[in-house]
Amino acid sequence: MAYLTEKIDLYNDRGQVLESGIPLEAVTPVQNPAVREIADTFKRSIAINLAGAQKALSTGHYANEYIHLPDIPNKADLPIKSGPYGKPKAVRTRTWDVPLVDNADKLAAKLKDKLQVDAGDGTIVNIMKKGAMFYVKPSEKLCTSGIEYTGALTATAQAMTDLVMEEFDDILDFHAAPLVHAAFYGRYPSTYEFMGGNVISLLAASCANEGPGFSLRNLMINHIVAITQRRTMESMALSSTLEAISHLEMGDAIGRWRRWQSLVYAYQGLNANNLVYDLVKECGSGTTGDVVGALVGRALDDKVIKVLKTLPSGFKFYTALDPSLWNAYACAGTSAAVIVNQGAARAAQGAGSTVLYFNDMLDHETGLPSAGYGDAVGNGIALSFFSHSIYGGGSPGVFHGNHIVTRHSKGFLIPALTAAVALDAGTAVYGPEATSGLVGDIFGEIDLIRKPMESIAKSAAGIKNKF
Amino acid sequence: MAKYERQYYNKGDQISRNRQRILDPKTKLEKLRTIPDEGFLSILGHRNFGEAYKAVHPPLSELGEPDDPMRDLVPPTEGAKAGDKMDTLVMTDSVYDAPIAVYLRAWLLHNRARGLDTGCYSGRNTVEMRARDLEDIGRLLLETEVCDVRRNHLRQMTCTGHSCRLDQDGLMFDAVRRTKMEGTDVVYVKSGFGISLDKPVNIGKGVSDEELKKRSSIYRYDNIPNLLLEDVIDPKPDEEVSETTQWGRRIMRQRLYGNLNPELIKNDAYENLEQLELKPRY
Repeated sequence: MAYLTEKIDLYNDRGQVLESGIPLEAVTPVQNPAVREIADTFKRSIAINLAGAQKALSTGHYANEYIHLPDIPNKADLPIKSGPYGKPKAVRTRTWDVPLVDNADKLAAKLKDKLQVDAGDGTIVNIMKKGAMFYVKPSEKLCTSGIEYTGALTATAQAMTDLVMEEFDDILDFHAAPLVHAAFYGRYPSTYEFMGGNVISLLAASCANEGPGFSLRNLMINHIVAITQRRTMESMALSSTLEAISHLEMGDAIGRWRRWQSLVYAYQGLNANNLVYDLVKECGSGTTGDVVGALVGRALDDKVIKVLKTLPSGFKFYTALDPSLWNAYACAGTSAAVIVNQGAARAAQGAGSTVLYFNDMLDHETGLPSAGYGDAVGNGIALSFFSHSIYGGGSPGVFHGNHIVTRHSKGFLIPALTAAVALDAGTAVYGPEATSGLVGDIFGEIDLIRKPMESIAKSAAGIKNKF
Repeated sequence: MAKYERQYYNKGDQISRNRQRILDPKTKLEKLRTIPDEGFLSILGHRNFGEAYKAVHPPLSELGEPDDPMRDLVPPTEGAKAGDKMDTLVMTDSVYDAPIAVYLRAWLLHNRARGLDTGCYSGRNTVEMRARDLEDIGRLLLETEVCDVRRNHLRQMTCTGHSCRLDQDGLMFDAVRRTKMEGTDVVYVKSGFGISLDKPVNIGKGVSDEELKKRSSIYRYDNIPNLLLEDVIDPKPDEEVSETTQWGRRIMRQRLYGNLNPELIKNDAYENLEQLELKPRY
């Protein structure tokens, strides 16, 4: 592969320059150390809900509705928690009061011992929320010896199952083992996912992915917004980073598409040359249509497009001088339009509409293909349908790149939706607070992924002289 | 460099110019009527006259927004500031010489309004916005020149009728019969949701059929003056219009070649495929 040597400047979300003169190659996921570290963090980060497991064991309420006996005579009299529609979801089975949270310190030390391969190999077990939660990062050797990413989750869940059985052998007997397993693993192996488990990974089980390379796209937008604490451009950057890594993994960033994808990532995700910021600043009090005008103006100034011919009334057709860069501009414009329109409403639901009509108007303003060369228009219309009314799946926050609607976008749709969800003031039923509070608490602590723009720019500057 | 001026639409013929006029936010749309507040709210059907707006979250000032430069650059709308719930407005446009067509509405709104969610589907255009912003936009859509009272109706449900034959008095078909003619005036006797109103709302007189043809933004054989049969068989549209209606094809071609190889659309290179040094049968 030839290096992508063209230079870009990286800016933060206040429009201040972070690093300048960065070769494009330095921000690509194959080269940038921070991007690789982000991927590694997502791969190896596990949360254990210790309080949840303790509650499961003490109430018999495993994995939401794991133990489910449909009809028993005295169901209504049983001291059990009700599910939706008044039906009991769990039946009091054998229960044990296992003091997991009280012994969190001891368990954490022993868990670390189980997950550590060599002394001082970076294995982390952090106690959070007064022992109710653990943040775990198993040994790198343990997670990367195989070729799949599930090792971190399975190793941790198995370690916890064993550990609880060993530590509390005075309370738990031989027959408790499957239930302790269910308390940590969830419904697996009855379901192929770890449904309702108390060992939580950000990544879904690999068989839940739509296709090859989708693992990092299978992450709910709400999670990303919660991690970055609703900071619009940081969440867009994180989302774009995950998409960029996924596209590499999907075989989309090879050959002539390498520069194409890298430009989308740099301009839309990392605010290269301050494009997104400038557009939002110029049109903040304006409309989607204003962003179209501002973007075409900027593209003409930067000599990305030029006039092809002028009709008698003065109507102009344009042609692209650099089609890949034009696509990156269109993607950045899509994000800016979503920030402007959905930011004004402080409501995420119109993101699909803005993506569609921004790109459609851009098409017809210039006679050039818009973001993704037509993908954005298709994604926008499908998203409008799938996030509303009779086709409804929910607000944009519960979408992810692994969805039938969004999977076709080449890295530009999910970041735009993430921006919309970050700007939402609380109109969604399933907002980040409802679905991702825990994820935000745990992963929001890690600077690297809470402020990806800064970390990626810094590490790009560190390697810029290599290219 | 000078600030880029958007072109919106070509100016080839009257219909293109009408479209251009509607889309360009610098053109002030002519106000044709004023609907009293009470009547307007009753046909919209979301809240009663004098009733407070329903809120989905506390006002932004009480809620406190996170530290985010983007929020500083993009001021919230009045409805967003107050935490209003999202409300819906659905408009249906007849295909018979209506001053605006369904898809054009989406472009109009995205050029003239902030903070909206809109979509076009099967002869209707839905707008969802914060309640008080929606009322402002609803007034624009119902009171200005983009609304002819006979051909553009507010229908929150059962929108069918945009392509059905008109009534004898020129009124668009409505399965729920929300509107009726009283002399030359159009009266809403039901709200958009089809609920009978205590006080029917008279929203005034439509423009004449001739005037409607002039204001129309829809290409039809029967709204082009002095049309001859041979023009119908072999249409000769305005040169500029025919050129710009090739947009669609041009854009599709560029999408096709661009997705094959981005370099093929550089300087419209795909136009001269044989001159490119490509492998045979590429």
